[in-house]
Amino acid sequence: MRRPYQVTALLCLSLALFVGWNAVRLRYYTSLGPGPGFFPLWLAVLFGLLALAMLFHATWSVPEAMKPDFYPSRAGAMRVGTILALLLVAALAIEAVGFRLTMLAFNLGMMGVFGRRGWIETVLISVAGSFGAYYVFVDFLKIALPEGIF
Amino acid sequence: MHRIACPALYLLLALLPGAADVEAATFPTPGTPIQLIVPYAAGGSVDSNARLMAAGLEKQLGVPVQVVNKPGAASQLALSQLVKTRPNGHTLSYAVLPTVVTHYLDPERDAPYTRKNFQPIALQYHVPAVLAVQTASPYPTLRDLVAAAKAKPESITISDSGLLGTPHMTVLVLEQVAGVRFASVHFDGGAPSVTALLGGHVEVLAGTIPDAVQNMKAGKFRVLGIADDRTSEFLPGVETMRSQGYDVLIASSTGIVAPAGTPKDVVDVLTNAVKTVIASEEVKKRTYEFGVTPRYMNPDEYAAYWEQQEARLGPLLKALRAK
Amino acid sequence: METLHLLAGGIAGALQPTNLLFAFLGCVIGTIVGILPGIGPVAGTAILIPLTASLDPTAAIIMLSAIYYGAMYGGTLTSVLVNVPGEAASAITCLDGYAMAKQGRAGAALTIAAIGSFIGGSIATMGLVWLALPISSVALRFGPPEFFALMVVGLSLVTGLASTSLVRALLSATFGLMVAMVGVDPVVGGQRFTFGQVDLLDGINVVSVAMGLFGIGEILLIAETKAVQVLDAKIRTLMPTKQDWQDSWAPILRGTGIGFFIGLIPGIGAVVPTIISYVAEKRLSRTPEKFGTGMIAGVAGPETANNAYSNASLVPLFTLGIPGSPTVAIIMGAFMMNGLVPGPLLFQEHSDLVWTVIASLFVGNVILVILNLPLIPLWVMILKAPQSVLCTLILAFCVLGAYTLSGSAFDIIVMALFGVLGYLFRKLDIPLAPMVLTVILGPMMEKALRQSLEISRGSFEIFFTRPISVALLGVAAVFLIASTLRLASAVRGDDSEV
Repeated sequence: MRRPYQVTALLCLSLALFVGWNAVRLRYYTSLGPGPGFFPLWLAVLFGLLALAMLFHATWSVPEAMKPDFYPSRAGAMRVGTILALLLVAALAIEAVGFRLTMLAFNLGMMGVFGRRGWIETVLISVAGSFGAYYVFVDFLKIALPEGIF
Repeated sequence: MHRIACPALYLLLALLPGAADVEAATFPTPGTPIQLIVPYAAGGSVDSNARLMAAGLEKQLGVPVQVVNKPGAASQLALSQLVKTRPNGHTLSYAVLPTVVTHYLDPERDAPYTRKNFQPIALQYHVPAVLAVQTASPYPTLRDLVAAAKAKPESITISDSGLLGTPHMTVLVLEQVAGVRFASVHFDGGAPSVTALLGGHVEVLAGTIPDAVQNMKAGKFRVLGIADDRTSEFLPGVETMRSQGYDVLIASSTGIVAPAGTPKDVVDVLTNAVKTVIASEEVKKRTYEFGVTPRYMNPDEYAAYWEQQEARLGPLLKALRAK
Repeated sequence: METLHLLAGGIAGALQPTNLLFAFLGCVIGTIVGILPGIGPVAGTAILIPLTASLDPTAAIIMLSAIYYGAMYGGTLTSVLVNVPGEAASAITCLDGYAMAKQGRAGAALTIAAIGSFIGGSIATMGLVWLALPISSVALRFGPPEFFALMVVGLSLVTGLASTSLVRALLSATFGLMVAMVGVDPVVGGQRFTFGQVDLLDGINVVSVAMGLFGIGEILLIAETKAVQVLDAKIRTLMPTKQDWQDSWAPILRGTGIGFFIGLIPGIGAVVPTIISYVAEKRLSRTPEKFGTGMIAGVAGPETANNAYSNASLVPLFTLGIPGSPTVAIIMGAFMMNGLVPGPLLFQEHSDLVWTVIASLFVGNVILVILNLPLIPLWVMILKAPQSVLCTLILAFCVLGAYTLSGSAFDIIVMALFGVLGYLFRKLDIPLAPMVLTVILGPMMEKALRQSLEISRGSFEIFFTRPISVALLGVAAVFLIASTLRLASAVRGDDSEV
């Protein structure tokens, strides 16, 4: 596990620099004590130091044994990517297209990711998780969900 | 062929959503719900009153009226979305003055709208601001409080519901008209600011009428004054700040707004419906139970009141930020 | 004796068929509301407010209170079964509860949680009966400086959540604090790390964070490996073993105490007692390193604490008229709508109603445990559903929950991002708990600090002149010194656990 921690540490270090750079532009102190920039700045410093500690440790001490399944298989990575893409699409479409159609497509997609279920089951679950949920929330619980085009 | 196509075309038109808009210029479009946005979380004062209003509007307008809670950023989130919706009267929102004014007058908040982006429909109710102290306080009257603040500037602590909230604005206006400076302590909502006075962590509470009612009844608080032009039935025996010589008029003035550009006839239909609902006995009774004072204003009065608040508070906000 | 007499009258009232029915309804609705992420007890009670207007006030208040404590139990179900906290107060239960479910011990976790909730709720109600008045006035002495000191104690406990590496735990905690900085700052009310996004003005919602880190993160791991052992694990036993009971009774009692006392302090929220209870159990355990791998104490403590909290938080309402949490504020609204003013006079003016409501808390806790114990086998059956069905529905459920949080698609994206983070953190063995802790405590601490300094006009003396604040800061200092010593020895290389 040497390389993954080195990469993580470098990512954290850049985040610390980004936060720190933004924090110095906020007011550091006010007449009544710490200003809005006080905590972000010190947090960035602390975060950076921790990232450095992780980097040194990963580089110069005996590395922890690599986890066998640390790197996903090609198919595994595809599945993870598809789920995240589905989530993103759902977030972008839900207001415009409406909850029911968006979630129907989302559920069908998800059932596809995990695969190997009969089509009847796939359709039933997808409808339950979209039109069914809409019915329960909007008509029964009176919680508004986007109606969209349908 | 022509004869066959025509009925089919009409059928198609009737089925298309929005087609009825074109066909008949009636409002509200039958069967199309009206979304009434509550820019605060479910369960608050605005939410309770909105649900009451929605039920009344449904009866008046004959279409479903859905209450949609879109809390966030002291209502700035929902209002930023409202001004971008189609001005057809089917999307409305609650708005609270002077909070909305602070959104665009405070450079830190930088809201993408001003008064001109809204079409006021009707003001529904006022929740006037008050100042209260503990019963045993060394400042039994507003005059004593102001005198003490003159003697020790920036040292008398006043709790409020949050920076630039209605109670904080009240303190700012009082500071201006009385020429004094207090030490404001900003809490996160009305309840914690009341608790702070009860616990004696601050000397004065800036709040609204419902914040003070029960503790006054219980003999714990003394209310120094109401920031309104009339006394309140909820606080018997309490004078207005104006009658004590401090011209402070601040309330959470809550009403319904639409995006600018909403047609005049649509606004009229909505305004009349809201007016009828406010006047109904059932709503009057329930509004009273919520501890708020119904005060109807038509769109023109509402807009004028809004602009007057803007003119009054703008310089104060600028001065606060310039510090 | 007089109290006992009044309570007996109250119990008679609470056992009347109508009141019993509404307590039951409240428990059912509360459980459902707790299960649905995005709809917490606040929304659940708020939605029912119009309905309660037409009810008898006693029945209405009984039902609303039942929803409140019922939701605390409902949240446990999804945390344990599918790693999605139904509401924030059950987030910490994901850590060990879900680990237990993976080992096929979901039944045991849920049973212990139900019994713990019952005990916590009942003892807290007893406290409400006898200690309410004397204690609540002490609770009022908790002002901003005491709040700040309490939050510092909470943060100083963070290293107690470390598993294999202190650096990684601190990294996670610091990251959480940085997340907590997003939004309108409590100092001058300016925008901080919002990048012009109006959705970020209120900061990042803790429930989206928790659903992402735990729920989405777990689904991504499952999807990647298609690991069968996770959800197809044999459901070995439904009942806790004798060992489970032995490991649980002390955490349940401690959880009750923690939940009760924090419930008395208005404004802290139900999450803090669960975290303090979890950390306390981990610190006191003889095998702290096993926390996160399915320790029953990590379920029993926090789950008891949140129920004790919700019952105890009615104390400031009844005695002082202070709503200590948003849900209690809604219950207070129900009082006011019926012309009742919560506060010291309530006990005198409407003694019947108050005692009936208090007695209904006992009755409700009994109903909850009767309702939930027989249902546990049924709930556990969910785990037997095929993986694709379960994962699809959990994700749909998360999207729905995130959307309903504030009626905005933005929270879905936040949840997805934290899902990725949860997935990566688990691959890298970076603990999630410290981050959840700091995301919650960070903003509360900064606000309390600012308020304290506004009161003292900028002088830090305020923290050292008030006895409760001094005591709490002393406790925090002890914890901090202990962890620093540990860190120092780790850096010197005496400790392989860096």
